[in-house]
Amino acid sequence: MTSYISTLSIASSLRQSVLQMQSQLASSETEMATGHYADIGLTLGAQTGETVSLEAEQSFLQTITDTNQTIGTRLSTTENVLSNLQSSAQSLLNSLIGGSGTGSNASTIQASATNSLQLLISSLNTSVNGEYIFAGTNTANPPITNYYAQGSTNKAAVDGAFLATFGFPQTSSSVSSISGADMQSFLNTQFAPLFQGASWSGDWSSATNQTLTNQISEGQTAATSVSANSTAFEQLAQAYTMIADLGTQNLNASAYAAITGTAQGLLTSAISNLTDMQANVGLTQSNITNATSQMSLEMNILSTQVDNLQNVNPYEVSTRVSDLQTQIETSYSLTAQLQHLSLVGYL
Amino acid sequence: VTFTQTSTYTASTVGNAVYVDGVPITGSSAAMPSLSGNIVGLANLRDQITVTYQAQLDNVAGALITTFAESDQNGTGPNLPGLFTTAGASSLPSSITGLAGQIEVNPTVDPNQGGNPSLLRDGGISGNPNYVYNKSGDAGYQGRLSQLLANLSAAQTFSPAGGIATNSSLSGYASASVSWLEAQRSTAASQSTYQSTLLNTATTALSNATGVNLNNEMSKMLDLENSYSATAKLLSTIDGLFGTLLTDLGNLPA
Repeated sequence: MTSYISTLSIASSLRQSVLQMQSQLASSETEMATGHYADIGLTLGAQTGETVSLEAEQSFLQTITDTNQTIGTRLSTTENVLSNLQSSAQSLLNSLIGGSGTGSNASTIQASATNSLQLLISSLNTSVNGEYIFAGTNTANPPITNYYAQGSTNKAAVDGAFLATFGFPQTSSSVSSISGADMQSFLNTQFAPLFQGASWSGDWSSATNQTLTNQISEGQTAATSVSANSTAFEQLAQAYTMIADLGTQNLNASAYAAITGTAQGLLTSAISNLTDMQANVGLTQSNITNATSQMSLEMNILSTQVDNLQNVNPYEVSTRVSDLQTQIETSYSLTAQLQHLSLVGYL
Repeated sequence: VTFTQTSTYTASTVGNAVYVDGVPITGSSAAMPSLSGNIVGLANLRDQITVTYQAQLDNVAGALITTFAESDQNGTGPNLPGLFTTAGASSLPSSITGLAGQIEVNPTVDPNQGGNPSLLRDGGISGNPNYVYNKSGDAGYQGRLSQLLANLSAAQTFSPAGGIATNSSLSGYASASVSWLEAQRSTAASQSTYQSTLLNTATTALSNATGVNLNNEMSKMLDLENSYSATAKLLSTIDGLFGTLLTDLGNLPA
């Protein structure tokens, strides 16, 4: 017995398959153009969550990498400032050692200390992207009070202590009467505390002791700034102010020797503290560089994973597209032939 | 077939069943539920899939609100909503049902609504000064932000109504939810392809069984025509024969 096929079946079978192939062609064209599946969710099913979390992870790492760039800028600025301060402290120390004991070049040394103090203040008030980098976490405000500004608290505190101890201001010509022992005692007991603890944070600095802490990679945090409250800066400010603003040029030889001797000690210690800080900053910088390059590797791996899940093989898709084209064309020509394939035409 | 429409849907509304001759054929009360077809598919979507997905979205919304909640820095008061909240809320939501539709960014943080985005760094979003983390107002304060970051990746407990993991991080839960949805979709799509293939085959079979082939019918008709004309020809021939015979009979000599 021969199988029976209705005229409707002959016509509709081609119609169905042409529709199906055309929709496949549309999605294959999308895949060709974009390089990944036309409908990722539909193709991957339960694996879609994996691509979502891989991409989230990737963008998290990218964010940290971007932050590391900013931190890198901050740290290299810090590094520059520290090395500037160190060389200025070193050159003052050299002139102090060179002219030790003699009051002849006092004015030169005083002028150079004034310059160094101004450099210290402006350096510590350096800002990067609107953030004062030495301010600890109080980054919105410049950390160090300008000693040479009108009515500054730190200048007032120094002046007040001097007046209370000796009974006349630093500018008075009577400073030449101060003995070496009196000056030494003033420096140790009244002057030094002005640069430490509560006096430092009250009169000189609005920085916090807490420095900035950033996440530099997944699960790795690092202190990424230096606070103006570090001992090295207190010592530098103390040594510079001592030479610059205690009437140095008018002192007698023994009082001058007391000042230069104390300042030498402070500068030596400050320079070594600065070196330590520079080493720490350098260490953090290298940690950040390592973390960034490691994260870049991780991001590569993650993006390979995402590509593996989402991407189509372009050769396969292009073969599929040309196959579909051929098939659709065949269907069209078959439809045209079937139309002629009617007995009516032959009667 | 009867069905009463529900015009307003809230998070906890349960849709009405479809009745045939007064007997429900969808929903849990159906004694003899219908198993296939459009109505069953739609009822299933309405009563199960969207309900589960809503539970997942509510879980995510609830977790977001608690993750960003602020604690009393003096340690006495309850936690209050932070970055994410519901409209007019003065405490953390007690139930997560329908949260996904109500969650919003706290207007006190949203600059578009006159809020102050720095509160995200400093705390005190609820307006209560006891909840301020950054007491000194430092611009570089990072303690709260680091805490939020840690909260986001910490494991949390989720309601089992979502039908996926109950203990995972917020982002893990969200990606599991995506997986769940796409897996459902993938299954539905492949079933739909299968059903439409089945429909095609059935339609062809039906058409073959009940439809006709025009050419076949045409050739049958030609057969009939031919036999008709052959018969007619035969009849006219016989008629001629009789005519001839009768004429000839009349001409016979008596």
